[in-house]
Amino acid sequence: MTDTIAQISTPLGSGGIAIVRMSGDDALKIAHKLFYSKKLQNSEITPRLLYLGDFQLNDATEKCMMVYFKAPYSFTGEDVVEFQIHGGEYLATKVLDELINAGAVLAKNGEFSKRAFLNGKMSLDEAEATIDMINATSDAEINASSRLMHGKLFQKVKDVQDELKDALANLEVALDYPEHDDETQSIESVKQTLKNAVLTLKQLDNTHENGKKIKFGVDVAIVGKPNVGKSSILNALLNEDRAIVTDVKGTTRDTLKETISYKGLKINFIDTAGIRESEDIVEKIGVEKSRKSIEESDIVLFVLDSSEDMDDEDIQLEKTIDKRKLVYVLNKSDKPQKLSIDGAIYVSAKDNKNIDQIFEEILKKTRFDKIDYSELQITNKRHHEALKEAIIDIEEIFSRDIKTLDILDMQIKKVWKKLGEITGETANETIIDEIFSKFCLGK
Amino acid sequence: MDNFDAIVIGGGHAGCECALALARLGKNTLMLTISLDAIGFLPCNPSIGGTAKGHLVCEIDALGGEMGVCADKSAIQIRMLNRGKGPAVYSLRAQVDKQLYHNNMKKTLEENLNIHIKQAEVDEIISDGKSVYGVKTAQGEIYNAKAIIICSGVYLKSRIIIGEYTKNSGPNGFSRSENLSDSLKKLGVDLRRFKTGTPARMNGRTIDYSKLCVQHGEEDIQTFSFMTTVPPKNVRDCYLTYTNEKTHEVIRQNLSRAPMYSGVIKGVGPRYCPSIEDKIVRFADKTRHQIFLEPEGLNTNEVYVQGVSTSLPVDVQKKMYRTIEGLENAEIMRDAYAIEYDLIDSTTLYPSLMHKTIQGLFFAGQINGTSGYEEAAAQGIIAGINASRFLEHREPLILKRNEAYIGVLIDDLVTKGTNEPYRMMTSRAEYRLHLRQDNADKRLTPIGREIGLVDDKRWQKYQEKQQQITKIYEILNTKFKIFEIKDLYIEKNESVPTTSQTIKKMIKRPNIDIFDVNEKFHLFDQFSKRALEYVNTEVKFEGYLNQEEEDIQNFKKQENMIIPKDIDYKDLKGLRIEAKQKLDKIRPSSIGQASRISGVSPADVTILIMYIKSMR
Repeated sequence: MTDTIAQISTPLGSGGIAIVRMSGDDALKIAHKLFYSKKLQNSEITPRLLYLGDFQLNDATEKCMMVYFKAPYSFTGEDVVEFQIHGGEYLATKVLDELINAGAVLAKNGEFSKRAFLNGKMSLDEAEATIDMINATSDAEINASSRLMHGKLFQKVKDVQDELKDALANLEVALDYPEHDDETQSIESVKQTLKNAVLTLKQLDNTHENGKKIKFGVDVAIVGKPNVGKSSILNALLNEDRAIVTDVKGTTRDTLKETISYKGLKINFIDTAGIRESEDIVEKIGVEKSRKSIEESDIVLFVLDSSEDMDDEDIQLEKTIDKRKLVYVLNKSDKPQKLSIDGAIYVSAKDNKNIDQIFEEILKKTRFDKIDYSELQITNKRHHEALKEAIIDIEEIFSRDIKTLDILDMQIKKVWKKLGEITGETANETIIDEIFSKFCLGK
Repeated sequence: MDNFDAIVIGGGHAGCECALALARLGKNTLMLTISLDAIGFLPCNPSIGGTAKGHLVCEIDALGGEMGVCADKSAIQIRMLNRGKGPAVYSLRAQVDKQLYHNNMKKTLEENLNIHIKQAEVDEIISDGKSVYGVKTAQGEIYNAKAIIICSGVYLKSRIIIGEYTKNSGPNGFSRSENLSDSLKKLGVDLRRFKTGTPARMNGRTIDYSKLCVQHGEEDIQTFSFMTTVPPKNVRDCYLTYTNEKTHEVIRQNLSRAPMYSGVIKGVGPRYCPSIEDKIVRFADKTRHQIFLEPEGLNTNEVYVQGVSTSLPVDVQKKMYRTIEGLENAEIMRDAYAIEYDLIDSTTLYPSLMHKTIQGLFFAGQINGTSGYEEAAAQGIIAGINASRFLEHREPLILKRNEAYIGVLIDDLVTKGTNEPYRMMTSRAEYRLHLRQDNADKRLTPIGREIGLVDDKRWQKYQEKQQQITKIYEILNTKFKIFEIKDLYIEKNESVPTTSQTIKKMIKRPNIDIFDVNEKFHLFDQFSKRALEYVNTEVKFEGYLNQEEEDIQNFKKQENMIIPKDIDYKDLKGLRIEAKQKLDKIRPSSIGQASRISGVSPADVTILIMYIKSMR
């Protein structure tokens, strides 16, 4: 059985629609785990028919279309499922994440085409075109990796790999040259190396979040009671008249997302409906969405009217916001002041006063003011996967309590090879070279 | 008498296995050797086996070869290395009596009706550059055969070096081969030059063992050969000592007289077998190096000084050795020396060990760039099998990397080549957990049977063991109540389970093995230790074995994608020039092999796969 592969098939970048494609024996099984459509409830799926339904994301659902191509009548000749998703790259990545969590593996460059070719779906002419494409993409990869090469990120992975290589050389010497036992490290010191390695890898893996932020932007939710001026602040931030600004409470019923770039950081502002208990069903949905925005966003701008004291509703809302994300924005600083909060930003949306401070605070909160843009973050999903798997593998070594050197060696080699998928160093020879450069062995 | 099926040139470890394999497969075989006294000779250390090498010996034995049998017969001390480091790396190592080993091996060859042994130096391979027809000796005799296997070891144009003194000579005073190199060169075979060395031999009577740490053998231990019924006795000990600052000082002062540094030696020396002067220079911060004193045999006082090979001048050697604890008054009987020799580029061979351009010409052993008796013997048996199959127009036997260390060894040689004498190491094997000594028979005896090397006696014994294993597995399902097994768990420091347990579950615990269970319940008394050991390992490491098995399945997929023999790499659009050249030189038989060639990228391999699929 072959792996079921998945990848975003539409070009990266924003667009109105994106297609995520899955190919392999388990494609339909995985799709059924995540995609729900009424039409599929009581009947078998019909190939080549578009189904409208809900795709189950982490804690939300997304409306999208699904189509199934039954093997061998598909592009790759295998079972293929495609999802058409609104909203472009960001959502597409989330959908892809879910597919991988459900058992698909990330497709390599040109892998769909390769499978198509191997399953006899392409003529030699077409195959040659594909070969050119693979060459081109691998060239691009080489370029990308050489850029990565200069980055500190690459160097860090390489450092960890080198430390593991050192540990492996020690283990291999212990195994291959028993008479040199006295020179080699103990299992304990090897395990210490692993402990350090897993720490570093986890830190690196966290940069994936930053990497994602560079790629997709930081989500900033604007929340507050109705009529404190959320939409006018957004307008001031965007310098555009986009959101509906009125004095009637509860007019911004849906969340609204606007993206701008500030000092190189992409910021997605999410204007939420005024949060308050409401009987109005439409508004209730909006309120629910606001709550979700608070949870999912990286930063929450909590807008208050500085001419009034905080009431119970404000205090309730404040409690729902993670303190680490929280930025107080006190609006209406042009009016007589009643409220004062430490560290808050005092603005007047009406006069466009102090709006820049909000931006600076966002940079500070996301630590983007400290990030050197020449340092590459983990933006590559495959690298992220490799890191994640390496971390899991190391943690397994500890949970399994390995007692013999040969098994320990085997498990560390697995980790080392995973990291090699990022650095490109996977050959056994490298370890053997290390053995001879470090140890004095022989007759 | 002048026509043979096959001619084996050389009577070292490769030559012996090769000739025996040919003869046992019914081929009328001539062995030509420069000296009959060099048959099965151990010119360096008096031991067989060790890590990875012990595995090779067990594999040769499982295929129906001779080395394990002869080592068991000639052993004077035997030990299992790496106990406690895991079953994959348990390695048998024996000290052997050199004279006995030589006598036993020579006798086995002499007794075989299909083998004819003649002391003679081969000057020329008779060939038109496409096929071989026979050989011509220095004495002017001509022998005809359609298969010729060159197992010339380090004898081709070899040169001994001791300090400023050099001599054109083979090892240990045997004469060298003068003209065979030139004959090969004329046939278009590329030659290169390597260097290796051996330490001095001391008179044991003059060594003071009183201060040294003794190393005894182990009793009641496994043997190399599956067929050995009486395990060898431990009748001699080894001793441990170290170099010290004084030793290093003597060497440093005389470094300018060391041939490696004065420029006398040009050959490439092995990293894993460095001379003592190499060790001192490369690892300057080490204050001492370990030395083993190994007996050369029962009927001699000679002692081998493992760890101190050198090509320093004799006067420096004497001074240097005498700085070592225990050797203060030691008398050198044979000086340490370095030796340089001609060899071929192993990537010019097919995995069958036949030359790529000259049909019927095979190479095995040190001439292919390896080091070590066991590595040589492993190639010898494969070259013998494949020369025999070549004569019968049958497909060669190629062991895969997941099947045997022998497979790893030969694949490395013909795919990657080597720039220094190649030593087998367990680290070279990707599927180490599957390539154990205890399952060598399971992996290779059925193959040996099919080839025709495994005789009825071995086959019957093998099948008996397999039947035992089946029965043992059945018994493993026996369940015991907690009260019956509680004591065992407590005694072995394991947490006591809450429900009744099968034996299989019991022996999955790290501190409990099948022998502990048997001691208590005696359910396995009628089974052999070998069968029990095998099952114990398989059960204990089941999870890891399965994990490795997944990797093996992926590996196999690539190995099974066969590249057509007549493929023209020049025609393949999309391949990089370097990849084209490398592929054309190595001519890999499968996608798997292609992917192991240095300079062939994953993108190149993908392109290759596409072309192969499209050509069908």
